[in-house]
Amino acid sequence: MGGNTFMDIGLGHYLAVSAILFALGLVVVMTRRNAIGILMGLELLLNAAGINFVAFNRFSAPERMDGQIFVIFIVILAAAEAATALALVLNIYHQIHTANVDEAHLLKE
Amino acid sequence: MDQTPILLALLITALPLCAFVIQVFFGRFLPRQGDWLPTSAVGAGLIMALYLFFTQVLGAPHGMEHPAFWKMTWLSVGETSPFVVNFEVMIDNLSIVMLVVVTLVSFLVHLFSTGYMKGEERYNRFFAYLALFTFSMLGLIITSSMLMLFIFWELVGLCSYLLIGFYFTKDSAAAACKKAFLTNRVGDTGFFLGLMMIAAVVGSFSFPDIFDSVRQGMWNPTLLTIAGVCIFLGAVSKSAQFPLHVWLPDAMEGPTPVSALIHAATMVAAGVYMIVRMFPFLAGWDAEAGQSAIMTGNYFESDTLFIIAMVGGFTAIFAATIAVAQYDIKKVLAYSTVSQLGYMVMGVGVGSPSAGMYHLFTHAMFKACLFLGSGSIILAMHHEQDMRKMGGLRKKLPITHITFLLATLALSGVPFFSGMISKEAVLTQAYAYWEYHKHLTGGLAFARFLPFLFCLVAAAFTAFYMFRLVIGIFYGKPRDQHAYEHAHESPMTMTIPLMVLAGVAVIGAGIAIPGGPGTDWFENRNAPEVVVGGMMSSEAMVPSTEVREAWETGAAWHDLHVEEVAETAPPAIKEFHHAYHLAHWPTFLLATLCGLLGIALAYWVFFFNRGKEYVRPGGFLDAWRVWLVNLYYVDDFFAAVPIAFTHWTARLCAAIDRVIVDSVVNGVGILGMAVAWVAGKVDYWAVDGTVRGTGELVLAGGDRVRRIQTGRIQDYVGLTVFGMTIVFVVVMIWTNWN
Repeated sequence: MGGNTFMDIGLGHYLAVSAILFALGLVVVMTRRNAIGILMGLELLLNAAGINFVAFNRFSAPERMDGQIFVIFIVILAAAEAATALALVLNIYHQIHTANVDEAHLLKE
Repeated sequence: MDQTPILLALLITALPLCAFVIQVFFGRFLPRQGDWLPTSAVGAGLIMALYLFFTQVLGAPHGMEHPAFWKMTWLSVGETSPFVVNFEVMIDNLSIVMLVVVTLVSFLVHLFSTGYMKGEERYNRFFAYLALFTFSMLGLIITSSMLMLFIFWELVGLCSYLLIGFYFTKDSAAAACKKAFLTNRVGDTGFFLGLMMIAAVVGSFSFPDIFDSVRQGMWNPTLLTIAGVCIFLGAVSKSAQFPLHVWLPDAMEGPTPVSALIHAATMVAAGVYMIVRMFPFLAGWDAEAGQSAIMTGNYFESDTLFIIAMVGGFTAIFAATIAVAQYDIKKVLAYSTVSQLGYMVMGVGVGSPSAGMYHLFTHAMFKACLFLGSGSIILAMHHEQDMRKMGGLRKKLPITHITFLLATLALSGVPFFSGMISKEAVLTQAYAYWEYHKHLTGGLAFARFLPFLFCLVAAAFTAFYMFRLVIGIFYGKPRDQHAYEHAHESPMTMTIPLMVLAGVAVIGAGIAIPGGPGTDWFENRNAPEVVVGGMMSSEAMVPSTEVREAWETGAAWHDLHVEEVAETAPPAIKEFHHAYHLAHWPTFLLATLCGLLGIALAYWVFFFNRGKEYVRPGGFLDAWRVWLVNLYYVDDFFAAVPIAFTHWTARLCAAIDRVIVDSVVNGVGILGMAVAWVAGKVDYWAVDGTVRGTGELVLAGGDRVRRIQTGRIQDYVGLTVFGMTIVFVVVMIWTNWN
């Protein structure tokens, strides 16, 4: 591929994407009222971290596969964690009969 | 050195003290309420005193040659040349005689009281007080330190207060004991002033030191006179001289044995004893000879002694006139005592302390007999003291009658009774005193005649009122028939003392004069002929440091006797001596004449009018009588002037206290309250405010901070992210600082 200029896709671009995704995920987690919505945002956060890993793997040590293995772990973790979280949400729903996290304020001082 | 006299004297003094201590605490529980305890203590003391008397005084030609000394340091102030105060004891002829007098009269009074006070309430307490008094009087006699004398002086005053006020539930008795004590206090102030002057000039209180200081000329003559007069003031109050005599007649409120013991024989004699002891001090400084008067024997220039003689002489006649108008037996005897004390004081004042002492001795005997006799009469008449209700008692009270009569004869100066001899000694000295001063011209010589004149006239009055008393009580028809029937003679415990005392009153003369005046042991060497060189022989009269050192080291003593008449004595003294010897017989006759005149007058007035309750004298005598009955208004004067002034001063002080002092105190209180109010505010706002503020701050802060915990997960997530970012940035900057 010859003639890399600023239009060549480098590490920075991947990192930028990952940062944007992270920020979006954070916003979702922080602002959505629905518990399921927060979980979706959580997925975004995890995936953004995964992109970071892969990017560093590709650009810093391409002969190795550590980053990519790590991302597989992350995905597994995300799936397990989503199941657990949903179970929790279900239990809370039994208590407060709504999925609105604003209503789960029993620990409020 | 033979310490027996000292030991015996201390024992004689200590026994009544122990008796007092036991009696006052345990008297109630002893059999017969413990009256035997003080009586036997004093009785033992009497035996020892008589032993001392017969061995030391009568056993030697001039009595006790050297006084015996003993001292114990009490306190010593200051390190270099300390001011030392000692307990000192000195025993010489004078002390031994006084010991005998005090123990004898005290013992007889104790014995009498067992009969007289029988059945009285607080009987045991009475004996306790008597024992305390005896101890105090004995202590006063044996001491050789003025301070110790003053201590015992006050103690006898206290005992007098307690005993006069024995019937304290009676208002008159309570007032009388207070009056006695306060009047004594007035004199004691003078005494104390004199004492302080002595302490300032001499630096010590002991007699030898005081007399030495006079001999060495340490005293400014004016100061010496003033100090002498101040000391005499103590005797004025204690021995009831005019004008401080007012307490003695009121002291008759006490039980009669008390009157006999204290107010006739012993306590009032303490004043006389004190001026006799201090005679070398009072004799002063002979300016012409440039020596102390005790050395030259010229006592007649001393102003102090002249004042003493005038006071004594005036008191003698003053009280004798009052006694004529009294109806209460005890009051007659009380004024008689005042009058006779005037004699004694005058005797010292005209230059013969031994004559004064002699009269003290004889007077103690017959006056105690008279008082105890009056006690017997009073008891027989069931506590009636007014002689207008008596009469014809000689058949009913034979022993009392005889002893009373004997004592009256002695008091009136009938020849060959003891009272005659002692009165004559005093009068002779007074006459010689006047003779000596005839050298002086005009009015001054007349003033020196007054002591003699007063005492002579007083002798006539004395005989008169005493026989008035005797006739009124014992002769004639009884005025109160009912009381007369019930009268009976007193028991033995009361009559034996009467007989003993009357006996001594009669024969007391014989003991005292082995060889005529001038050589008897009473004559403590004040006769001028024995003043030779720088020392007095037999320093019984004038103990000095040389004598004390000789005593302590046992050095031989060169004794000088009367026969060695001093060729070196000044001519004026030789003249005096001549006049003294010439005066004996004339004075004897004059005194006897006066006494007999008084008796004859009394006989004429009262015997022929016996049975009548009251004899009107008539004429100007009636007017004089009003003065007498009102006691020359002396008491009224005292109430109106000094006492009223004292009350006014007290009210003034109370007003000052109320207005000024209390306002200051209240002001301070208000100030305190104001300060407290301010402090309270500060405490509430500043101190408590800080505490409260802190609390509230914490609460408010906590309230605010608490709100982080919303319970919403999303808020926690946001905070976590925020915190992480901060940490991340800080770490990045920190690690990449350089």
